[in-house]
Amino acid sequence: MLAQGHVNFGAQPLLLDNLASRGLTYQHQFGRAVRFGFTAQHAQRIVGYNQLAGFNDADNRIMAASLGVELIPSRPGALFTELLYLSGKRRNAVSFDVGEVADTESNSGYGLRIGGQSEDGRLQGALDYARSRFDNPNDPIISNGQGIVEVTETTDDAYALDLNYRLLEGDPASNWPMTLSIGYRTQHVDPLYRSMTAFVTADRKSENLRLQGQIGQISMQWEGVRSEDNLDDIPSILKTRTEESRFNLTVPLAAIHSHGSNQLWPQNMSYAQMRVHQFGINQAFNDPSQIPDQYSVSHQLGFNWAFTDWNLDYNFNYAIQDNRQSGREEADFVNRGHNLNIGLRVTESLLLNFGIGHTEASDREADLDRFSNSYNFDVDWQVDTSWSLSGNFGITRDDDSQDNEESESNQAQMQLGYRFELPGPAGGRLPGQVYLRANYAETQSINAAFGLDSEGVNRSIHAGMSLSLF
Amino acid sequence: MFNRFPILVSFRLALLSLLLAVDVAQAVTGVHPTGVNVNATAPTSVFLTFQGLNNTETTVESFWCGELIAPNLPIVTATNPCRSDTLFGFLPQRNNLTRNSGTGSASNLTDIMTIPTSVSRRAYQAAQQGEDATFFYVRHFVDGAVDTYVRVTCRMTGGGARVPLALTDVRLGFQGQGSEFAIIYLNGDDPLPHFGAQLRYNGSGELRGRWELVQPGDSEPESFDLLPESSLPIELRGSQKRYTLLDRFSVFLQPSGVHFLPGPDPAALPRVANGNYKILLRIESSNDREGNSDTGAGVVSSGGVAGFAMPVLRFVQTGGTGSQGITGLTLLTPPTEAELTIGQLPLFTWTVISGARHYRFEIKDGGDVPFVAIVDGTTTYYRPPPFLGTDSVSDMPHAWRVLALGANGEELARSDWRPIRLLP
Repeated sequence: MLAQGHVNFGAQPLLLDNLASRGLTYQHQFGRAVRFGFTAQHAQRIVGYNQLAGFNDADNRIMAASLGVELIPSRPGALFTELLYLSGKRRNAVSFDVGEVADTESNSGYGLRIGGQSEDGRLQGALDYARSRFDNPNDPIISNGQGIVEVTETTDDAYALDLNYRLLEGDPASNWPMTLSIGYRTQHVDPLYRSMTAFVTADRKSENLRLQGQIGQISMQWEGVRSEDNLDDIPSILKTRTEESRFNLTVPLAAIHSHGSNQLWPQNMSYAQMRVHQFGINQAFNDPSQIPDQYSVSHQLGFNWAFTDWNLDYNFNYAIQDNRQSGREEADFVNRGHNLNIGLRVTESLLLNFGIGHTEASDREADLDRFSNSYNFDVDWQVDTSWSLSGNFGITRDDDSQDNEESESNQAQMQLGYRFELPGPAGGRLPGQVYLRANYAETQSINAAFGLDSEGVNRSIHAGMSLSLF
Repeated sequence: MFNRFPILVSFRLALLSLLLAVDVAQAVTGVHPTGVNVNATAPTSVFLTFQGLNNTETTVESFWCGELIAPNLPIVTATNPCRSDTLFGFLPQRNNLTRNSGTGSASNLTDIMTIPTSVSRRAYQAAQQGEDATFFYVRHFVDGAVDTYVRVTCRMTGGGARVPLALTDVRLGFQGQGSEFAIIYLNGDDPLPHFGAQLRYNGSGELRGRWELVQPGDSEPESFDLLPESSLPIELRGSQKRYTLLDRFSVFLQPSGVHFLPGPDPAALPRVANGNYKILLRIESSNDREGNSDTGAGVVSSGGVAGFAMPVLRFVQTGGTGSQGITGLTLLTPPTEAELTIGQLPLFTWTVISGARHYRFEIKDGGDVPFVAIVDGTTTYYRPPPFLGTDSVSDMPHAWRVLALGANGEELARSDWRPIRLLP
């Protein structure tokens, strides 16, 4: 199958991971066992009519081909392998609507994926390996026309092994079937490994153990990760070790109380926790305060109530950043946040929404608390098939415990729309619309520390008409 | 030769240092911070304040180098402190966000030092060959009479804790089908897909900001408006244009470098008018100890700084009023890519949609929809019957979704397709 336009290609996480740009792809399946794919795409995401085909600029193009083989064709997925080849060049230009720091790049490489699963599907695994030759050719944007140190082209490797085993398979006849899976992943990426078409953190090795379980509709995940960087042990580069643990719990209470209990229970509850300890393990810098020893924890808790005519969401988050290295013992931060949102369907066509939020960020070293409070009210009214009215109003206030900064932002908007149809050619109808919108925005900001006091008001009225001809 | 004549060398270096420090008293006096930890394998952005510029002084260029012409040079010198054969590159013009700044009597230059990966790669390769991994960022000032060079020391790290909190790659996108397109087109009755921002960053700490909407008829945001607040001098931070507020966020970024920031409920977007819409990600300044910069008049915080303007997410609305409900339809269980045994399918659950009289439950088999069930609007769960068996299911990818239907069968809301894996 040949496709041209905005296309996607690739599922090799270390070398080419879902490349999506303008160009072409070709995919062909030979019987049940062999599939071939090819792509040629523009090196940046583009829009407009320049570079219409996307793949005809050889200095700014990525090409790749893949060959996948099912080694046991009678049981698809039992054992498969895919070989991928990549070749591309990229000019120093940014993609359309992407925030990035671009470079001129040249890259070629190949990747191999071998994967499979046992006959009962309980054991699954995949091995990914990639070898990438990468260079930053001379780039006038970086060199500014002067002689600069040339980047040496390097060839580097990355590999990852991922295994998963289902320890428990619940009895589906039970109301509370219990499942449990265990997974392990190890990944090693060389210090200068880089691919133009996959985000891979270079110079890092990591090991990951995860447990995933379900009791009825309650699901939970735990994951522990240990990683290290500066794999070449270069003494003047900081070497850090990171120990992470993540825990997620989702309780769809709706599925539980559907069996007949209190309908005022939240429909859904979720909790997520993440702990990270990152610390330096060499003495790269003379100043010990530059070598991190940071322990941080974040918690997120959410509840959702949903009924026929109203819904309510509440979310709470809490995070602490504890710096422990010499000279930074007091440089700790605590963040708290509450968000409450209530939606109400007054009639079939009239919807109201009210939200309130409060965040607090504490800097213990500076003995400073920063507060932010926000309130919003929205209305959405479909008066009839022609008329609609919407509005939103918002207030945000920020201040701090030392009265250094204070700001307030007030915003209001009302919008009226009218939909109509005009007779069109061949008895058809041409849908049209007019709208009227009024905006009001006011901001005020005082910064006592810098002696700044600013205020701004914006009032505007917009009107417009549209007619759809096709 | 240096080893044979250490005394002579020391004398020469002392003389050189003296010459370099001459005549800069009237020019830029310093920079803060003078040294930063940077990412060895990815871009880095750091907020810098060059202090004490005189009235006629301007900056002409900035660059990185691996070695100085002499050790222990002062931060401010009258000649280029870099060894010319260790020049790593110049700050690209598109990332040059320098602005004259100053409050009170301070006369400063605010600079966002954005190090491209190719520059840190040069520094890393030099370190592999035995050189010191530390490298230097130098900004060159002129005032017509005097040249002044001010440098910042860059220490290479893994980009986590103790590195200023900075966004280095930001990609906004819609989720689900069609997510590869830069712009999507919606009929007024089409639900807007869920959206969010894939962030790559250095450091750790609070990232705060808001989602805004540019509606048809609004004045277009300029690059200045789309910069993170922390990429601006303190006195300009309240002067960016504001648009219709969709939602605010405050998240804690762990020192892991990657975070997905979900957008607000897409059903809450006001879409009365047909035309072009832009969803904006506005990053507000947060308190980050590692990014603090002393301006001479006070300390500026710079959490969430970036060397580029935030991208926008675009959609075009055609036809219809697009008046949306206040809630979207969110699928609960089973999760994405869940492996389900055919014939023993679990309960499928989703959130309530106000006003829904029925829900339409669908399972997709490749491009076809071979299984559809209508569920009463008072329930938000469904278990497919046993006849959804092996014979009726191909080995094509599967996915499920739910549509909420009103009293007259009109569609009130629709979930995205959620992929699942059906096992024999």
